[in-house]
Amino acid sequence: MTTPSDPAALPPQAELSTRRLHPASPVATSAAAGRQVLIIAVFVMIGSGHALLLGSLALAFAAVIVGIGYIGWYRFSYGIVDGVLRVDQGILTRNRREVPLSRIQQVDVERRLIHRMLGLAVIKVDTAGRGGDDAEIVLNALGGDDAAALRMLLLSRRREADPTLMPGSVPSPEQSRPAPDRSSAGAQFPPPPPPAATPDLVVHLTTRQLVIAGVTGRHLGAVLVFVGAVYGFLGYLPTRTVNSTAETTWGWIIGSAVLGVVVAVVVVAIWVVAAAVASVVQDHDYTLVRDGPDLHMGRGLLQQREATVALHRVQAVRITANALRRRLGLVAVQIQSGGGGSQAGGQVSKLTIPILPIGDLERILSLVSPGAPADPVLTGNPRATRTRWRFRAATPVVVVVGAAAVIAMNAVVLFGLLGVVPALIWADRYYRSLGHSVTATHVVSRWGAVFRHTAVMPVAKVQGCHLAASPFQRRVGLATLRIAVAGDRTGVPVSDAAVERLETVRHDLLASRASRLDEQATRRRLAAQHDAS
Amino acid sequence: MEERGPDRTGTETDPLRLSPRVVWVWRIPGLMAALVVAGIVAAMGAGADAAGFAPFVPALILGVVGIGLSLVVPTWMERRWRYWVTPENIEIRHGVWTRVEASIPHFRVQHIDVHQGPLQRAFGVVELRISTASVTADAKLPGLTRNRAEEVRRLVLERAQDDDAV
Repeated sequence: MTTPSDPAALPPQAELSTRRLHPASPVATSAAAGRQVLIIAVFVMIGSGHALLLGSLALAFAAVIVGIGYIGWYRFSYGIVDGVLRVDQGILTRNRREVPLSRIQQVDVERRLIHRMLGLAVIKVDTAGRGGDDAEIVLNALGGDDAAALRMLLLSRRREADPTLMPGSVPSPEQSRPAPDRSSAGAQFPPPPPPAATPDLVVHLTTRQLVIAGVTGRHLGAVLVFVGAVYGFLGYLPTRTVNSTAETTWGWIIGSAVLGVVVAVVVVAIWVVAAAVASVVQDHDYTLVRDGPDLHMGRGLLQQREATVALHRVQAVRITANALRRRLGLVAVQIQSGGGGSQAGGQVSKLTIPILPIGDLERILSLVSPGAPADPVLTGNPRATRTRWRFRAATPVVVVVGAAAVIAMNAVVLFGLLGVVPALIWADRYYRSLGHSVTATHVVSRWGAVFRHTAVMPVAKVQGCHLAASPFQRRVGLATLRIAVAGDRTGVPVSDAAVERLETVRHDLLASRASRLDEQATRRRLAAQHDAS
Repeated sequence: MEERGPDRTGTETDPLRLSPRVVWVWRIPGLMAALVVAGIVAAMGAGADAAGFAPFVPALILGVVGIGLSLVVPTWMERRWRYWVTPENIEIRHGVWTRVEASIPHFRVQHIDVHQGPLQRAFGVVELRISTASVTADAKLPGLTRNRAEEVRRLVLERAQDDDAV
């Protein structure tokens, strides 16, 4: 693939005159901190009774925070010069960050509640950086329309500068040139270029699916704190009622039992409803769309988020399902793209599909990682692995129960040793879940008894691997292989497999010709973008 | 082109090793930590009411064990740290308790940094940090002499660039 050499065909340089963020931005940025201060202030005011004094103090404090925010706003500017997004910020020390448009991997638009109230949006730009914080830019906040236009501008310029992206769907330069008003070029946001082809809908989640996702997934854990707080506030009521109205001992026992059941039912109902509501609020109207070489995702009810990931940047796909979801035939999918910085909360480089029927998995995999096996036959692990996991599961139970028996000087505690039985059952399940597979194009690893993970990576994207073995593993001929892809923090493990097998896998991964071609293609693409911009 | 001997790349059976001085770079922080911890425990013992040497026994034991480990473990670490450069990858083996085998293909290497902290400067060794696009796949060679570090760096980067021409 060569860059176009005809000067007339080269797209005009991306230009956006340097400007400040929306004037209402400091209000939006200090809203989160302000809310916490407000909550504390309200509690303290109610508690101490000096309402007026504390109230005015709190207001003065808030005014100071917003004032400092405005100074920061005044000193923050951004613009696009010569195909490079430049951001200048800092009150005391000036900080300039420059990102070539060609390096932009992902552009998110986020709207928290405060932003929607003010008609603003946050733009988060993630680049192909190595995970350092200086590789991301957060523009908090622009006006809603400006944010959408800027996002289209950032993405369209990247597409034009990279002709190797998708041969079929790159728009011709004439089509995508913005309005030819050269006199005011750069002063306004140019109108977005028309999309190359109609986007294809990949996934759309209905409210019913989101409710199921909430009730079966991690939202249950997230709302536990809320439910605990509700119980803390109101939980004493039933026991007080029983204590004050029961006249006989029997009445008290029956009353307590009945009330106990009622309370349990109510608490569980609140828990389930809260989880469902949390899921719907977070992922409302979840839509995943393929637009040429990109995936667009939009979701959210109160806080809205839009993300864009270039398909060729997808490094790995992680499929997770807990025991309940497996029974219902559902999974969650996380699409990981090469970018790994932490300033944007780590969200920018991962695209998550919160719930998906397992039948749709093949379609998604063929889209983001063509050639990935949808239902691979996984190689299991030797007996030694099962013994090892049984030992690892049973030992903590024995140690804890033994220590408790010694501390409490009570032999009855030893009945806790019965806990070894479920531990061994779990260990067997975990052993059966461990598996891996290497095809010509992909490597798959699976692990997890209750929370099952399956990671699918193209062999071409494997950056390197580590083989590690503890003395216990060495004794029985086992080892753990950790496979790294770009932007990954922890790598994908292939745990406790036979050493010889892992040596073969490692050799196959490293000797793969596809890896070499992928790296060459990536570097050539980056070099071409540098030349074009 | 200046005169230099054939590049030493090492092989699996005859790997390259770290500079022996790295052992002291590892020992010194260990010794200091052992002495500090023993000192704290001794101070706690001094505050206790018991008479004689009894309160100082834990501190003594900790001190002896700590110093012993700080002297011995770095030797083991240095003995186990090996590396060699093949035409395809750079291979590194290290680890006393958990043994780690790391391989990085040359064409995946993004950049190689030479790092030298004050303690390393005192003993005249540097640390080579090999970076790829993934933090997990990175590797490091602590305790090489500067000449050897430059040699390895040149070797790997040459091969990394050669690949682009293929």
